[in-house]
Amino acid sequence: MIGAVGVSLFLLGLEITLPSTMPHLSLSALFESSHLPMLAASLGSAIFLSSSTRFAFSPGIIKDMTERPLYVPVFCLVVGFTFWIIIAACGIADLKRLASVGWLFAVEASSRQDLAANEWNYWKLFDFGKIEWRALSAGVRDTVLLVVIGALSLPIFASATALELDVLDYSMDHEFVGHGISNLVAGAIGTLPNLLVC
Amino acid sequence: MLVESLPFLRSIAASIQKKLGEGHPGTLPTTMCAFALTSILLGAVFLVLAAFRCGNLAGYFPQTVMTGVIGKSIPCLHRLKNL
Repeated sequence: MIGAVGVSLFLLGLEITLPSTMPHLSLSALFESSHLPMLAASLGSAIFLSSSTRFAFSPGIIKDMTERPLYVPVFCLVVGFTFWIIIAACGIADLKRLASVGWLFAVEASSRQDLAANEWNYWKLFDFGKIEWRALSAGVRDTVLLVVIGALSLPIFASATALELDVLDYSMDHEFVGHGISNLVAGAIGTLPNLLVC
Repeated sequence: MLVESLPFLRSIAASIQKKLGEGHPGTLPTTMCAFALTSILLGAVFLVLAAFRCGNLAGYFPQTVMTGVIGKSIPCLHRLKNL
């Protein structure tokens, strides 16, 4: 079961790197010369992450580092920062061109009207004058469903992950506190709810 | 979780759009606000669960349920791909 999840996540990951102009995953599209740098950047960092955490013979100091719980999150942040540093170093200012080749996600034309120049600045969408509070109630049913399902699935996911990773001494209450804080922070900066992925 | 929550987020956005009508300028800000409020609500629920020490209740989920829950992400992924 878990293997199948892995395979379909892997395929989804490969497909997401394809620009929206060619929506179907195929070997020829994947290894097209224009797509190769992106394939290398996405697959390369994934391979680096997975091998750096698994190599048993790596020297002590690196092993110490990769075994820390913060290694994976910090790695993900570093990948993002590296990308923007390279973009800045190459002097690329036209983000639309980057999006058209697939390095960035493209925003659909229909929703672009409000965004104008700064597409990346999603905080601009929080135009408090324009928020229709009465319409918020329309989504309440799904919000409650999402919260209930999220609250129910965290204990299941957490214990399933603990079982999978052979971690016997974990505290569910600590999981609740951690996820509570992370979701409050996510809400405060205006992003989506998050939960442990196993 | 992101995979399972996407259909819900989508339907929150859809119902707000339906309520306001096509092309209403308030659709996007309201949806963003609804998403942020969802995160805050979920965070608050987790903190309440922690405050009442509900962690022990997790032990009552049988292992078959857990493996089943992980398995159901496959249909979720497929549904997401076909949206």
